[in-house]
Amino acid sequence: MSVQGLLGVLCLTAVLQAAPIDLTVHYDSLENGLKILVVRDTNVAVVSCRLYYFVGSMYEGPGATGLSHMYEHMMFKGTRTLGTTDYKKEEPFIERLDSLQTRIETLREQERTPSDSTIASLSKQISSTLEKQRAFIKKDEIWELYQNNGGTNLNAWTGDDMTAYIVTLPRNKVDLFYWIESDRMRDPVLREFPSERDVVMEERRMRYDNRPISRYFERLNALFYIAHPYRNPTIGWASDIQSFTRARLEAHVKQYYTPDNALIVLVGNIDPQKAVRDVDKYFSHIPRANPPKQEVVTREPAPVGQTRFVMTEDAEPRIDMMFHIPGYPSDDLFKLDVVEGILNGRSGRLYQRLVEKEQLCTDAGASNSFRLHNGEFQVWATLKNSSDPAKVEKLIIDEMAKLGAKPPSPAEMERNKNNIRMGFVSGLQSLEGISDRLAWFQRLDSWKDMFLYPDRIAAVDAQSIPAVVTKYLDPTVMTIGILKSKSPQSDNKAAGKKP
Amino acid sequence: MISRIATISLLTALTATGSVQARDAKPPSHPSKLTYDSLVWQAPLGAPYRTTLSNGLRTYIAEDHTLPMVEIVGEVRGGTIFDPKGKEGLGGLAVGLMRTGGTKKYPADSLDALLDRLAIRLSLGQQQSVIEFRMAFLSDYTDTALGILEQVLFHPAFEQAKVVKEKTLAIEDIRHRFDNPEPVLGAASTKAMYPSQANSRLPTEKSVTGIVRTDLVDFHKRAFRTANIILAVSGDLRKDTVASRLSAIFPKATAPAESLVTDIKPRPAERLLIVQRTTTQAYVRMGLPLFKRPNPDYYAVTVLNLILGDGGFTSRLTTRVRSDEGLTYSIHSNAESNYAFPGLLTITFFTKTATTSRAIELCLEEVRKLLKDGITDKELSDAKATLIDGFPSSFRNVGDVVEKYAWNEYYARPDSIFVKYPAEIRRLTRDDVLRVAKKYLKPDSLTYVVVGDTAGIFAADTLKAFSLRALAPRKVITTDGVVGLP
Repeated sequence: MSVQGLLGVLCLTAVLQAAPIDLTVHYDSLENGLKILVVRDTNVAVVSCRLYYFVGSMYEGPGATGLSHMYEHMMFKGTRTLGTTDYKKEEPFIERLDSLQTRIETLREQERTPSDSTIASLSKQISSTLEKQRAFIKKDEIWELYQNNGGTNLNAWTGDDMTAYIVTLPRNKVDLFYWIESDRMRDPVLREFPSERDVVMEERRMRYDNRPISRYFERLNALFYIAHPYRNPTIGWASDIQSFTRARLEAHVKQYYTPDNALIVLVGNIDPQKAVRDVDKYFSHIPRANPPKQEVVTREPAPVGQTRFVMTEDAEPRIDMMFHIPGYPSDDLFKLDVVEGILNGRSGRLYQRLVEKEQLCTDAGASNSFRLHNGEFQVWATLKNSSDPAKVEKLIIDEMAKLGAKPPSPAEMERNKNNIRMGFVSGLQSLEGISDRLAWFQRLDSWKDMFLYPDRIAAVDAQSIPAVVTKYLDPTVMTIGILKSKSPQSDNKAAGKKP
Repeated sequence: MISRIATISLLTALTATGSVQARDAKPPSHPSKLTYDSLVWQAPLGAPYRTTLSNGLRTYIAEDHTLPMVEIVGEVRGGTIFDPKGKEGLGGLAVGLMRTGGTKKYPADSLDALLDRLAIRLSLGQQQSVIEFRMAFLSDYTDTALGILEQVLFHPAFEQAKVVKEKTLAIEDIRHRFDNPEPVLGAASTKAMYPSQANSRLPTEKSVTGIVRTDLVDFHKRAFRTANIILAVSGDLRKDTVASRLSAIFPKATAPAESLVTDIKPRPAERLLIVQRTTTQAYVRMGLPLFKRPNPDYYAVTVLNLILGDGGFTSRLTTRVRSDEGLTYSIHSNAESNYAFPGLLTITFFTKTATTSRAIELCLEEVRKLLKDGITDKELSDAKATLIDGFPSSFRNVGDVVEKYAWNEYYARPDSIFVKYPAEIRRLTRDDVLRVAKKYLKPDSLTYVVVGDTAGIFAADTLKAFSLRALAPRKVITTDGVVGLP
């Protein structure tokens, strides 16, 4: 396979009032579908190297939630070349572990508990097999290679619809990124699977079991989306994680972690033409997914009625109102971004009403989330312990009704435009930030949209705001979460006094 | 950063640049066989940006016209350790109110509106041994922004209504500061290691309630003096214009800067402090006294720390406790770089309740192994490569440079520290690392702080090699009791 034979160079000028900012983005794709974006900056000594796969928790069905996140962990375990001293000798142990795990799964399906003596015996065998396998494992060789070559910001992350493997390297060491990532794409080996699954369970306990606010949001999100797999937590439900097998993850990897579902973004001191040649050299022989990626067809049905979720916890009390909005691209999304800007900030309508005037809340704001299929608009407030959530709920609805009845003022529109401009400019300060923005817009539709965004916001007419508020931010069909503090009267806790 | 070509007026220009050259030679069979062009890089100097203005203000100013924005960072003598006893929370409240409590020229609400309208980002905050303010704005608004900065820094109004409001918000914050286990572990650990000392005192509802407007005015008067401030300014600006403006904004320095000297030092009383909490995991920190910088052992300790638990997946603790045993998602060691008082060497992790003692036992095994056998040649060379080759990533633009040097001067570090850093790391030997390990990494002196379900933790505390229950003296408290610890 070869590259398409055309290196596109798009010099985009975001005209932001007085000072235009030009950003030259070089783009290309290989015949196997791998896309490449390069932005050159000769003032730095490093290159941000990021490989994005367009997969995440929305591609996981019942029983499989968390697979993409699990693979985020497993990607650091190596390949047939990396992470092993001799793969041929190691392989029988992997197969043995698979066989033991399958037997456990069969017993679990028969609803035996893990304390079942057979399961306990099999678990012991897994541990001893893993120990034998470790004689051939080179621990965390990928991490070590990156780190010993000056790699910084070394990490990975998983979202609903995108997963990223990231590192920033000295400008002379980018070949290392190509080598490792092409090897991981072509030939991953899911070694040490059982112990890493335990690590993921520990991560889940930390993120959800012991953080009340996370538990609240996990449930609220699952109530908000009733059909779309956005309802699943990225880390996965605990019972799903515990039932993962290596074979199941391997099937997921073969389907989604392929060049035709990936994007490489390089930002920093790098020659774009050489970068494309090098990407071709390392990645062009990796085949596309076969069969091709299955896209998610489920879409959220139109909301019906109000959904109310109330939870009492040792946590700061809060209210979250969530509204369904379209997926990307829709002109209404940009109007809703203006709505978000009008509601947000210390001089924004929510803070002024709830914190300053009524003095019921400690903070308030809104967020308009662009998503591929079905977006969400969220209005939130954190309450003082003594405040009545019902009163705050009424006030928020009142503020939104005002915005639905009358266009925002010119001052509000100017404020919004300046903040969008500032956000755009400051976002270009970091190599990694540029990379993520380009990838994010590419995921939604096209990386070129990043440059159109300020103009799209500037084009929003204040007169169009009431209609969009009325259309989408309708309290009769919202999902509302109310988190109550478990002991609102125990104010003396803070002073260490007895209540 | 990204080149800004102000003269280009075309919105888009699509250019074909020809087909790709014939594919280069095949990649080597292993990444260790890759060869790289040499990279000549030296840490940038701060001196070219350093100016003491006519009013005595120490500044680092750098022009960078890449993006149409300006950033200002100010380091101010102060910090939570200087909050008076009984007035804990004073500094944080005062600097917060400098931003939100109005100024002589701008009433509070109109300042909020102006900052929001022009998208000027301004924040002030207090850390343990420094007060810091940050401002970022589009360069179109430089003049207005500097005017606002002058008002906020030198003419705060501390409007009474805003003082009442911010105190209320601070108290709400105090009520929820321990909603999650991690902050409990942090506060309890500091209390355990530094009992009855300034750095372990916590703001309480009582201390915040007791703060009155005159306290805030006095605090501001004492802290926000030109001699106490070091400024880093960078971005789309003219150096001489900004210098001239800053000379007018900041009053002439009179009295010298406040001292950062304190008598704080680690004096742990208990071996084990347990904070009872119904959680599915135990949150553990094991701590030892370290030193105050500057200290000649610092670089060797940095390498020791990297190998022990600060090097991500390649560190010994992560390999053993996370990767081999699957007992935690996160474990790390930390060697504090503290210039105000002696810091700590710590190991921190969380694990499910039933494996608390086992995870501690594994940590101790790794510590003892390191003390017995030292580190390997490979570990040393890997650590050096990590620290030296990763160093250029810390200096992305001139904004990074001026900010780092302002911070450097705040803590009276030598100008040459960044330039010399690679050589300081390169000269270290395995013996150097073993020497500092034996000097500071003393397993029998560790103080253990655990936040979690005491009964569950003790029920599984049945190991031969290590017993949490056997540690004495020990104290068990509830979350509510943390604030009452000395």
